[in-house]
Parts: sequence; structure tokens; C-alpha cells
Amino acid sequence: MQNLLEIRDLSVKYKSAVKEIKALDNVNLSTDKAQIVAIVGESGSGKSTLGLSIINLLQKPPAVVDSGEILFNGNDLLKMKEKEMADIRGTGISMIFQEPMSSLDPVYTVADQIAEAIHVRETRTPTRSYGPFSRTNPELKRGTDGGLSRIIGIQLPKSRKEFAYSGEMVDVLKRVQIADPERVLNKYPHELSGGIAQRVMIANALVEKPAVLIADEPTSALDVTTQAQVLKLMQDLRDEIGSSILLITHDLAVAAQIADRVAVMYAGELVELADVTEIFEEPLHPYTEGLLNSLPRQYRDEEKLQGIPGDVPDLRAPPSGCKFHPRCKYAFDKCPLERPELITVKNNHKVACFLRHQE
Amino acid sequence: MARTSRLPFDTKESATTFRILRSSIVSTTGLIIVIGFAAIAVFVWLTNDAILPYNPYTITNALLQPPSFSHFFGTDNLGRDVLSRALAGTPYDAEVPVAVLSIAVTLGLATGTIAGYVGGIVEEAVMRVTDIFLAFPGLVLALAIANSLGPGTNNAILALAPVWWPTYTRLARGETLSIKSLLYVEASRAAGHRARYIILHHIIPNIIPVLLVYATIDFGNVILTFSVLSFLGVGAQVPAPEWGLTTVLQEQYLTSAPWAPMIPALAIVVVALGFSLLGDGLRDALDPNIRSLFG
Repeated sequence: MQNLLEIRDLSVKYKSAVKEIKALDNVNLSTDKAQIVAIVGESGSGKSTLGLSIINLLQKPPAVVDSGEILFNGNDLLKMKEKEMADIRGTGISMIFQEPMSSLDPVYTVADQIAEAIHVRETRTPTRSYGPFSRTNPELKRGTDGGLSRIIGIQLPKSRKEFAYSGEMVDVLKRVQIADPERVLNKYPHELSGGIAQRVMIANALVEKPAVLIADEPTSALDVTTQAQVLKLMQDLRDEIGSSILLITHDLAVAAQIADRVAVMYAGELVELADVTEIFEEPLHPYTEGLLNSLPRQYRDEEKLQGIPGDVPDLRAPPSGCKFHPRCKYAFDKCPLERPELITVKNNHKVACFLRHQE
Repeated sequence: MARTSRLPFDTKESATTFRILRSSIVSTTGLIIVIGFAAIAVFVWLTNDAILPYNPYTITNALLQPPSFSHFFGTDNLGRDVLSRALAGTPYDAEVPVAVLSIAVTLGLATGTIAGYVGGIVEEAVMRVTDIFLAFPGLVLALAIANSLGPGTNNAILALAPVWWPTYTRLARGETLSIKSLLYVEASRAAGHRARYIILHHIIPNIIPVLLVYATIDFGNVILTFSVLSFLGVGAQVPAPEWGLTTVLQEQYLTSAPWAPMIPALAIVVVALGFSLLGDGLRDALDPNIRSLFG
């Protein structure tokens, strides 16, 4: 079966006049339909860069794509013109950002922003739609609602639009577990709490029913109970619509809850890729092992939590060979010399470590 | 329920704006001055000076009379009623700044947001053009253009607009740059919106309060510069009761008959002040944080 999204040998650099940072180094990753892939790693490991490069929203400059291709439905996104890419964004690939509060435009109410998302879907031609296509109001044409509406108060097409979409707006907000959609719809973003704002963002993405959803730390701004609800929502999205989800997170617990596959990143490289049960039961890379050991567990009888010694390497001058070797307790003579490839060692379990390759 | 009004004019939104403006005495003063100024200008213009107590152009032999009940603000050096002339000047002093600032804000918004959002060569080109305009002292450039077009109020507008727009372009570009990097613009791109849509729906609504506030504060500056053009003979022409021109022509009587130059000068000050007070109030009224408090 053909993969929905396939990343091949992707390398991305952040370049400035004086320094050069290799944010992504030969990353290979693919997702099937209706699969949740969690991308796990410390801050600065290149997770967000990976997410942004898939949807082609990297700031260039300073970012430079060195090599590689990102295939979506067999087409290379990196070679696409901005116009073609804009057709894919939203319906083919959509993204939820880290900070819900600043992801909503402060001058529009929630109703305006959700109506906007519905309107985009409604006015898109069926051939350009990647998600399940639906149209509730075929006679509505792209309106000319102006930015001056706030000052002069003229908003003929906009109120018509909102009127036509109000039923779906309430539905979608109910789906993201907002108890009183009618009240929330009339609010401006700054009047919302972080959890509600994040749910509005997810509602916006739900409206489009994207084929691939990239969620960049969608739960890091939320408390634990809301976190669980948001994760449940993503699972529903996968189950009902069949979207693939790339969940970028630093929280292994989040990954354990909903992911099908887990990709562990370290210093811009993919070091381990396996099914979720595999990786938690039998981590093969020493870094994954270290990550798991640094989680507090109730049943463990230890005095102290084990961390990973040392810090994330400076990517301006990364260590030679395996980038993890200075912090690795199993490192041996070959590690600083050569870079380990990401090789399948077991059934569907890939790892980039010499220790496992020799077996 | 979401705002489901089917009225073409959203009365709720504009009512909120007025409520916020009226909540502070400062912006209420500004609002009253601006509305009064606009009303007088329109009224005088529509009635073609007929409602004024005296004909502002009729020369009498009651020269430089002090204020009295028959001449509320006295008369000038040609025996014309100062109050009538001041009122007759409002259409001139409303037309020119409104026209100049409309052109400047429109042009500035269009070029500034595109330059800021697109970046690269487009930005470089637009900004170098504004640099060329800003390199000349504003008044000299306006004089040169007005001179080549010939005297007259409309030509003065055409001369002032090229001097005024680069500031607005720079302002709009700067604001665009700061908004462009915000997450909601990126989120909008992630939702598949084109540059044109994002500029019209996310960037312009967010920067228009800034430009509007600046424009209201700038109103007085346009009147003053227009007065200078008039004084130098390329703006309003001599019998016209335009405030700046009148002030300059009557200035020599400042010590003997202060009302003659002072009344039109005060009119400029009051109107300029009124617009900047209103601008201040508008900035608050358009801020969603404050708006929500007034529901």
C-alpha cells in the first residue's frame, strides 16, 4: 500500500552569515492513512522544524532545505509552487500550533473564525479537496466581507455567511466538548481560556477534515484533564474521518496514550521508530531508554529518578559519528567515528545504533 | 447564537464604538468637535455661504472693528466679518485634509502591507521609492508639484498627497512585519489561505486602528502645510476664507486687532486637537480587549 505521506532523506539547515545549524539531518518517516505517529524528543531536537517543513511553512531564510523530498499522495511538496501548496494546506495537510492563544486572530470573534474555516471548505471545488468533501450551502459564493467592518459596521456578506453556517458552528464546538457553544461563539480570543482556545483551534481543523493533521504540542498549554479530552478528540478524528495525525510532543505519556507509532528524534536525527507497544516495552536506542528511565513511575522503588547525563549537543558543532555518543553509557570505539544508519532490526522496529546493528 | 443579524449595517458594532467613545470625557470632546466641524463644513458648503451672518467676501468700511454684538468676533482689515469668514473656511479645511489623508492611507495601506508581507524584491522596491519621496523636504516637494500644476485647492491636494503617503507606507509595513510573524497568520496559511486573503482579512484589520489613529493626529499637520502653500500663493487663492491663508494675511494686525488672525488660528488648533482626541479614543474603542468590556 502506498503511504499517504512519506518523508525521504530530509535535511534542513538554519543559515545565517556567521553560523549554520543542522536542524534536520536525513530524516526518513512515513505515515499511512488513519495512523497516529508521535514525534518525541527534547526541545531543539528538530520536531517543530519537521512539522513546519511538511506543511511548507518554514521561514526561508533562515531555513534552507538541503536535500530530500516530502511526498504527499505521491507528489513532492518541496517542489511545489506556493499556489499549489496553498491548495493542499487546510484540506490535505493542516496544522495546529503550540500556543492556542496567539493562533487566533484577536480582532475576530470565534464565530467569525470558524465561519471562515467553513467558508473555505464550502467554496473549494471538489477536485481540489483531499478530505471527505461536503457542501451544505452550494449557493454561497466567496463574499467580500471587508476589514473595515469593525469601523463602519458594514458586514452584509459576513452576517449572511454566519447565519448560514451557524448550525454547523454549534455542532463542531459541541464536538470539541465546549459545553455552551452559543456563548463561546460571540467571544473574542482574549476572553477565552487556554483550553477553550485550543479546542477552538481543533474545531477549526475538524471543520476541514484534513487528510493529515500536524499537531505541534497541542496539549502542552493545557492541564491534565483537558489534555486527556483533547487527545481523545484526536483519536476520534482518526477513527471517524480517517485522518493521519503527526503528533509532535516532548511528553512520552501523551505519545503512549494515543500514538500508533513513535518516532524518537535526537539532535535533528531520527534515532528510533517503532510501534508504540514495542518502544515502551523494549526500547532499543540508549536515548529512548534514557527518556523512559527519566519518567517518574509509581511502582518503581528507586530513591532517585535517573536522568540522561549531559545536555543536548550544540548543533552548530555537533559531535562526530553518532550524535548521542558523548552522553551514552554504552558508547564504544566505533561510535564517535561513524554515523549509524536507521536500520530495521526487528519487525517494523528501526533504530540507529551500532549496538543493535551488530546483533 | 452567533451574530445572525441580516441587516446590511451592523448597528451593534457601531453602537459599541460610540459607547466606548462616550465613556471618556476626552474622547467625547474630540467626537463633539469633529462632528461639529464636519456638520458646519457640510452645511456651509451645501447652502453656499447663505446661512452665514454676513457675506464673507463683502468689503465694508468698518475696518478692524473689535468684537461686538453685531460682529461677534470683530472685523478684519477689509471690514469683513471674522466669524463669517471663519465659518466659510470650514469646507476648505475639511476637504483638503480628508482628501489628502484618504489618498495617503489607502496608498500606504496597499503598498505597505504588500511590501511587508511579500518581502524580497517587492519590499525593497517599494521602500526605496518611499525613500526617494522622503529624501526631499516635504514642503519643497509639495511646492514644486503645486507650482507645476498651477494654483488652486484641488491642485494643492494633488501636491500634498505624494508628500504624505510614504509615512503611511512605512507605518503599514512596520506593523505588517510585526503581525506577519504572529501565529495566527501562520495558522491562516496552514489553513490554506492565499497571501491576498491574509492581507485583507488578517493584516489590514489588525493594523487599521494604528493608521487611523495616526491619521487623525496628522489632520492638523495637513491643515498647517496647506496653509503654508496658500500663503506662498499655490494653495487656496486670495479672497478664499481658508483658515491658514487668513491667519497668515492678518498676522500683521496681531498687536492692534488680535481677533483678526487669532480666530482662524484658534479654529485650526481646536479642530486639530479635536481630531487627535478622537484618535486617542478610537484607539481604545477599536481594541478588542476594551471592546469586550462594553459588550
